[in-house]
Amino acid sequence: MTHRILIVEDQADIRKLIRMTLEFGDFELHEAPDGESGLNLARAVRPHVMLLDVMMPGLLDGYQVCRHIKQDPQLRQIQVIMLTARGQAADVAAGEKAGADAYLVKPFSPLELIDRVEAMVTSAAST
Amino acid sequence: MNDAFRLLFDQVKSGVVWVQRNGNVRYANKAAVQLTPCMLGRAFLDPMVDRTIRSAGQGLLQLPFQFEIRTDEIHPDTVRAVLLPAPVGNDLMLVLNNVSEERWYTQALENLIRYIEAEMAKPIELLVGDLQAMEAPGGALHRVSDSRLAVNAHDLSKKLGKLSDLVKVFGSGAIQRDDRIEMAGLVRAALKIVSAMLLDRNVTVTLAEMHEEVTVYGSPEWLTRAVAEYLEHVVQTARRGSVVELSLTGTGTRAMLRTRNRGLFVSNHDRRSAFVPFGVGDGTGQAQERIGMALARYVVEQHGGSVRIEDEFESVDFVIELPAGAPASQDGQLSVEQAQRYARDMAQLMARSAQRRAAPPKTAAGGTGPAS
Repeated sequence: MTHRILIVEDQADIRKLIRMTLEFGDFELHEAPDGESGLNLARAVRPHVMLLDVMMPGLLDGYQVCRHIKQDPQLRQIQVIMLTARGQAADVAAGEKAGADAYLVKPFSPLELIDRVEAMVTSAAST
Repeated sequence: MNDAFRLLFDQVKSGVVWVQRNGNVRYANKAAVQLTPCMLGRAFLDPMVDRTIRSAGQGLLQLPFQFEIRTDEIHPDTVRAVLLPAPVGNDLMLVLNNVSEERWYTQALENLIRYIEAEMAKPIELLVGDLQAMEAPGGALHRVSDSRLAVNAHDLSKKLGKLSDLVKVFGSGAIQRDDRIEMAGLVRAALKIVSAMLLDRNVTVTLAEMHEEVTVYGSPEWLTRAVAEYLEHVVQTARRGSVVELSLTGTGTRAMLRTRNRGLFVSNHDRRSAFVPFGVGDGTGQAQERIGMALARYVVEQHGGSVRIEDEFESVDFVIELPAGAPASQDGQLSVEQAQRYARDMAQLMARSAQRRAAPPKTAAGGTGPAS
């Protein structure tokens, strides 16, 4: 079964690198450039895993999108990996508070990213 | 005049007036109306401007023609006017710029900033430290509780601190933080800061609308300061006993903090000088009042936003607009670092991919989508 992955990231270069990384796996990839369209796409696509940038322009940043996802009974099963350039304890805590399932600090290892995503979709499939 | 021109002229900071060769005004943008009184379909009320336009209309002046006018106010400003042919047709255009503000900015403020940097930064720092020591348990302030010296020193420290802050934010790159800030909390904190002034002036702030989720990125300290200064200005300009409506909203990519003061009138002079620290032509007693809004504006501008005064028929709105969320920037350095990590891992990713292709297919686990 092909798992759906949603990449929400405002920097086009980073988005492209994530896509290139995940293309080594067997995933159906979707992309959004900001929080609001990311949330709308999540509702439409129902991804298994969402890669979510924290700092994005617009009314919904990564934490807010994550909070919306985890508060919505229809969406809360989506596994959320927060992507951020800031890896301080307070930032990680804010991600946890928003309900994030994992946290990757940029620049992240593509191997680690794909391993995390695969582990998440495997555990989702087994439950 | 077509709508495209109208739209364009409504966006520019300079005053723009489109006039017929007989001197009748066909269009004037908002900035122009604030600089010199004029009415559509009529000649300019300022006889000097009217005469100049008519002369140009009769071909007696070579265009573009530059001249200066003075605003009709107690503290008049000098306005540079340039008369030139309209981009289409046979009409004329008058472009107006307030040069009093420009001169002030380029000369007085720069001199003042240099002076403060050189002469006042250190004494302010020492004074703040001394006051803290005096206020500590057993300090001199506890023994002489009503010390006039201490009160005056506090007052001076506050005023000088404002000047010092103004200097700091003037320096480029003074605000480089990108902390996540929930604006509703920040506005409440700023309201607490001005609560004494609200009581003193018997001004009530009602929350008309408060979008709790509105988030911006920047310096919490400086933005709190900016919003407090902005609120202080709003309270100072409000009549005693009046009610001010405050709203915080988020739309699209903008966060908007608005205070609406019904029945307030802001003169053109006040409108222009509100953002100029120390005012233009104001008495020394009011100088301190003028610093706050300028400080607020510089801080907000360094966050990519703007502070402005908008007026409707029955109310005046003081507006702070900020970009919602993180600033839209392409971090080139981060992209390069991420690309380097990708290049480093690519060989392993390719090897893993090849191994998978070679391996026999696994039996499907039969999982379903998370929310399908």
